[in-house]
Amino acid sequence: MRQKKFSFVVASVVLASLLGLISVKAHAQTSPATQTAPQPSEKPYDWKASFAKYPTGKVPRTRDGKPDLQGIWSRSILTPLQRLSAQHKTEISEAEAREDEDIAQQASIDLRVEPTATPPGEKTTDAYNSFWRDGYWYKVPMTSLHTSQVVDPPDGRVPPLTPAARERGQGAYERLNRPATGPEDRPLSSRCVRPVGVGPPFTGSGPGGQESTFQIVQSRDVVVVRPEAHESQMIYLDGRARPAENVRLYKGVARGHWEGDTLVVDYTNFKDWGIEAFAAYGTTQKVHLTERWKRLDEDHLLYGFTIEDPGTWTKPWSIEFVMWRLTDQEQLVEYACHEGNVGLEFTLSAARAKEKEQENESGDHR
Amino acid sequence: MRTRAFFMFMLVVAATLPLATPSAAHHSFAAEYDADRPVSLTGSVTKMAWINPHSWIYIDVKKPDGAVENWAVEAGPPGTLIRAGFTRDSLAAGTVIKVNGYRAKDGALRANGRDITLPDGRLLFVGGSGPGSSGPGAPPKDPPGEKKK
Repeated sequence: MRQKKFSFVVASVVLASLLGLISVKAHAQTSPATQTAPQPSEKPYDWKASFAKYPTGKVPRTRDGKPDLQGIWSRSILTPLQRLSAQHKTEISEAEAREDEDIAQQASIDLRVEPTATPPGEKTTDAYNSFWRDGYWYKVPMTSLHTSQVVDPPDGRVPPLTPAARERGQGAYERLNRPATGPEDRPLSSRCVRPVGVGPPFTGSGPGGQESTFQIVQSRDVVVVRPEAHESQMIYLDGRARPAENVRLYKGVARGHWEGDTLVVDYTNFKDWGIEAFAAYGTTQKVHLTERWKRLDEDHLLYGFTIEDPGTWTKPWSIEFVMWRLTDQEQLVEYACHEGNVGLEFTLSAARAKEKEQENESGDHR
Repeated sequence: MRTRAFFMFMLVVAATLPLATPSAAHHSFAAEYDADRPVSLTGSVTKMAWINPHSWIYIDVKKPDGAVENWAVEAGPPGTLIRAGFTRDSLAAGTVIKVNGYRAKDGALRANGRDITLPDGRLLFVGGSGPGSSGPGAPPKDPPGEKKK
């Protein structure tokens, strides 16, 4: 229990360390140190050499001899996005990995009843307990021994945000929680425009993840990535032209090709705020993304990306992590986000009720 | 070991913080529910809607004067439970459940279901069809044991 109390006190700092998804403030605090430290001469990231280090087994193939990526896959893994600190070790042992899986599940179990995100003595800010999240009913696996998904920069840390991105991230929490003036005043995720976990790109979701699965369907000319929460991403391999530059999509435009046994996907034509994984501060339409997919064996899929967006990060960065296959699920359950999104309606009704209450209090009975 | 245990624990805590991860930020608790109005409800399940982005459990709650109110209780997305091997038949109508949560800000008979158990404290869903998932993190055959507080 004492450990839990302490946890809440340092939560924001550790959050920045492990997730790198929000904590814009923490970024701002840590970045000067990063910037003033002498920069080691870094070799450019060589994804081919890096991918070749992962052991492979028997890989299923399609009729045209390409690796068969099809299946239902989970990105629910324990490896954090960022290394704890640049000085932290880069790998753990197999025994430590198994131990971490046990610890993480026990933490999910211990947090079932507690107001999970609420500092002691403060009001709750979170709606659901760990019962409804990955990691309670089954162990979230540590699928590699790396201590971060980020492999480049070599310190395992997401590069600092640009001042513009920091500014976009300011007040995100307040914007999310204030009474909504209308549907447009809600984040894209609340409106089912960019629901959670839809990619591209994907990051490994931790033990508290929810929409962490997706399906791949593949033919010679197109690979379809269908996230649990929303519309499919069509990755065309047939060499077709991209749409004009003024055509902008939240999910970008994907064109793929095979390099050996790895599917390499190049994304362009993103819209501002398109990348859901970094919705806390948003990305710009200058973002360029390259994804790499390599099936390692029957049940494991190596995934990586390199992302650059001069409007968001001070330099490009890359991640790698290993996804695992759900062996007993034949198809995804239809998500139907809009159809069931009564939360949006009730958020608006709550805001209107609050207004009425304030009108009554001020004696204004128009 | 203690340090690692702590950081694994933090990883789980962190995942529940609003905006910390996309999954937690789907919609805002504070914009919809009132943290100053906790409710504790015990009632009989009339139906469960296995819908996304969140599932809903409807229960008939008997008031002290004998009148019955049908409450809607918002729960997490069904995906995790489906992955754990539960089905839409896992919570039968008529099952009596206990809900601790917070009331909707608009005053309707609606609450979020932070903690949902059977009246004797056993976990929701367990008792009917049990978990049966596979995968690298195969679930325990028995429901996870919780430490006594």
